[in-house]
Amino acid sequence: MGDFEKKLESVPVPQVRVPEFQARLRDRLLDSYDAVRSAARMKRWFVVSSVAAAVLLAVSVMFVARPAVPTALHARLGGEDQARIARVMGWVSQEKKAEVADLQATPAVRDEDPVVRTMELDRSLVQKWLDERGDVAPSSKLRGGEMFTVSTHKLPNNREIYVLTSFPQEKASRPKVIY
Amino acid sequence: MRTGVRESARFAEMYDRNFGRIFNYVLRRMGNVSLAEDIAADVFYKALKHAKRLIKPGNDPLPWLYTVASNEVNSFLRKRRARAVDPAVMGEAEGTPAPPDQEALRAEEELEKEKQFAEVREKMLSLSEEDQTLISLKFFEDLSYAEMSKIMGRREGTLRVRLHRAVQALKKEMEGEEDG
Repeated sequence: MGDFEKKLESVPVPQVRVPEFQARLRDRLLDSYDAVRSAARMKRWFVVSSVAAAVLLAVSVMFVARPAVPTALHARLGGEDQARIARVMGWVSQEKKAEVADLQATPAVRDEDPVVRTMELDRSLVQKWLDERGDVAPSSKLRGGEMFTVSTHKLPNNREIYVLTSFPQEKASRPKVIY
Repeated sequence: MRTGVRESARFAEMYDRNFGRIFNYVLRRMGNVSLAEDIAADVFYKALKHAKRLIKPGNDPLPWLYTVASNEVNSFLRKRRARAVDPAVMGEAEGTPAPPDQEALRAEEELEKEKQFAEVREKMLSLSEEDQTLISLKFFEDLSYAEMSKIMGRREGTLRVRLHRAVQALKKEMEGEEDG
């Protein structure tokens, strides 16, 4: 430590007491303690409830939006669509993949594209599977004369997802993703 | 309700324990009793809003109080510098102090007794606010680098380097005075 530092350390430091002011301030602080604390609690409550509402809204939007995206999909999936599937259909669990795999009776590989492979499915197996599931929307119930495919989509991150699509017989109708 | 009473009692206890240190720190920085009273009051009103955290058992509120006090003082000094107010009338310029009461007058007299400190403090005013804070915390509040690190939110190594520079700057100011 240099001489100047030592000099600074040796400077006598004033110690002042203001007991009357200290007591007055203490009384004022304690008088407003409850009001300030409840205002702080209100603010905290407001922040917490706003965050909770935002989370709830986001979850609701995700639930409402979820069926819309698969419906928009069809057999010709581009890279962007796949990225969307990756985001929206992250809910396809390993169990669901196993269930879909059960459907793949005598599949014929239509498309050797390494990214999208589509397999035809036996209609009765699809109906049986849908009946057993019970969580498929009524609009997804099968009508006669449809063809079904299950597409295996390999995403850029090597994750695979399955999309069950129905192809109505009427040529004007577009393929519909039902699961 | 009972919890509220307990909390306010603990806050009062925290206030009693720390008021003296914070008030004197602000006073040594400001050199004016009325302004130091105002700033110390602001610090403890802010503490009221964070009371729950500050009175939590095992939590030392002093670093938080020093941080807020330093910010308040530095903010005041910055404003004063921007307005280029004469230090002699800075209290009036801020419109803060009412005519000082007897206690404040006695406190001013006590403060004025320490002439050597007053000289150092006056020279410190030409340094940056951060340098003033560093010198005050180290030499007048007698805090360790670990404590200063908590207050200023900087690493101890950084504080050592900055303090060394601040001391050199103050030395230059004071030697300039002696030479002149």
